[in-house]
Amino acid sequence: MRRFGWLLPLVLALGLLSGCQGPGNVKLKVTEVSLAPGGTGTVAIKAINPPDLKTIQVGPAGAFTFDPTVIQITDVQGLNGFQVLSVTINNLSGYVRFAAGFPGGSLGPIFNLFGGTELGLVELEVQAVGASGSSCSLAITAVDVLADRNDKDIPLAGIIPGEAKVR
Amino acid sequence: MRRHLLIIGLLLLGLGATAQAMELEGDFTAILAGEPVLVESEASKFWFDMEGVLNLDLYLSGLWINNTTVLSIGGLQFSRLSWGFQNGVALEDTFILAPNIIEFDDDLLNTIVFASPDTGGLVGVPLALFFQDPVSGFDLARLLSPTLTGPLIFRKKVVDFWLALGGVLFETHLLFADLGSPQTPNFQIGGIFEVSGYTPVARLSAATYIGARQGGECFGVCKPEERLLAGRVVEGLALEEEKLSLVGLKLLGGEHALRLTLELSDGLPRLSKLEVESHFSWRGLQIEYLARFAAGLGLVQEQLSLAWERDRLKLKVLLLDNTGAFSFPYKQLVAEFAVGKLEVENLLLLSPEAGLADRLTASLELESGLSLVSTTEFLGGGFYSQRLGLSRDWDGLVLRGDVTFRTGFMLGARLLLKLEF
Repeated sequence: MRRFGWLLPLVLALGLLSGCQGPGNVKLKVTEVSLAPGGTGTVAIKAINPPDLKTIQVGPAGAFTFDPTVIQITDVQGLNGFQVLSVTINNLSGYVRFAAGFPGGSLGPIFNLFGGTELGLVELEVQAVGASGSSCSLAITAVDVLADRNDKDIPLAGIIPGEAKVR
Repeated sequence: MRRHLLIIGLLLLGLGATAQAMELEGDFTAILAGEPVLVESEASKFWFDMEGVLNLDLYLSGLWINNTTVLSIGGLQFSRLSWGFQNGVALEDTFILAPNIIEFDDDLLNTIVFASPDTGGLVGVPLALFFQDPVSGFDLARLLSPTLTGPLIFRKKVVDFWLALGGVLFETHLLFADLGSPQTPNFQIGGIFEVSGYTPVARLSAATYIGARQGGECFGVCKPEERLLAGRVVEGLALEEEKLSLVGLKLLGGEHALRLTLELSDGLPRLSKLEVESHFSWRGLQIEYLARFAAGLGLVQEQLSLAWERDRLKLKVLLLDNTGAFSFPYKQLVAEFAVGKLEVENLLLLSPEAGLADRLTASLELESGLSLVSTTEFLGGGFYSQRLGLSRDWDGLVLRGDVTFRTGFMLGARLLLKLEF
């Protein structure tokens, strides 16, 4: 037992000493979509490295923005257990504001699963209204609330915009 | 309902009375769990739960009977009674009582596709998120608790039958389920019929799903003992799926497997899933290639793994891809080693946008029967989670406790006592 006693503090130190710093690199990502003229598809808003994520609110300060001459948003749904609590879709000005939450607790990463550190939160149903060859950026201008299971703010490292293309 | 409970009660009493003449064994597990609810970094209240799982096994001249009962603070949550025998043919009959039934897909996330009672918001929830560890044991209970308010009723019956004839194995799995409520029952029937056998080149099998689909069902709060993974019942008694497998095909110095699923519910058969797996061995190096395709035959997952093992050291490099371009943007390194009484497993995941994720599990046997287990997780390059657990095994008695911390808060603590008899 004594021969290996020194290994225990070493193993624990890896976890406990690094506890000074919180999870980093938490990002939001908007996926890309390619649509036939007049066709429909979906765009997802995903969380990368979600550390016990419970609430996301985009609005009133922030918004999900798009070019309404290229696409229109027809619906907003929750993904992976996230539920959309409120939503405002404006297809004239080209923005969506929404709030969504995870009612059972929080959404965290799945370590032993392929792509388990990137989980979808919200899915937007889109319809192409632009001409063939047109495209627009799908951006989130700001996130009003991104909170964990204790309603603590999660620092956001960045937002990766997506794109909608009409083939 | 009362009749079902009476039958189980009488059976258990009967088992107890005749235990000396038969072989009766089992175990009882009691779990205490607590989770603080934080306000301004202080615990304002605690979630508290107490559960018990009783497992009884009886063996009598080739006949076996098993009963598993899950009790919670809210009362009886789940009861499963199974019996079976093997004598030329094999038969297993399972009968489940529960207030709810949850059906999930066989996708990577075990996504919920049906719930009864449906209290809203459950369809689409990835159960795999809650089946892994370390997560809060309360999250799934909170999600499913609105479905547990009704009485314990008949939810599922499965009759499994196996017959081997001339080197061919015939399997029948008959499924009966109540997908409704106590007030409005909705009884549905399904079946999985499978034929398999060895040919000179490979093992072939074909499974037909009628009124049933691949996936699983769970009951109560979907604890491991409350899950059934051998298919799920769907409404109607129509042809749903055909699963064909070819396993153990030796070709080009390797061993290969091919599994495909035909979708039959749309009229003409349509290929909906395809899985190709190849395994090679070269100078102690195990090389595996796996490709999974789904509806529309888009690539879902492609992986190449290289594994090497020597004495108490195992190394595995896993390259993962979802682009179909053989570019493998996700990399995973799994290392396992043991030094004396210390066993370590490390899972390192590197992905282009998420960066580094790591799970380090270390288990140390402090003395005979006493072990310390630590699981540390790093996410996006920073600390994420730490679980510390202590386990003590005596002869027929196990005591385990663990506590889990996240960055800046305590997630929860558990105490488990298991008595084997």
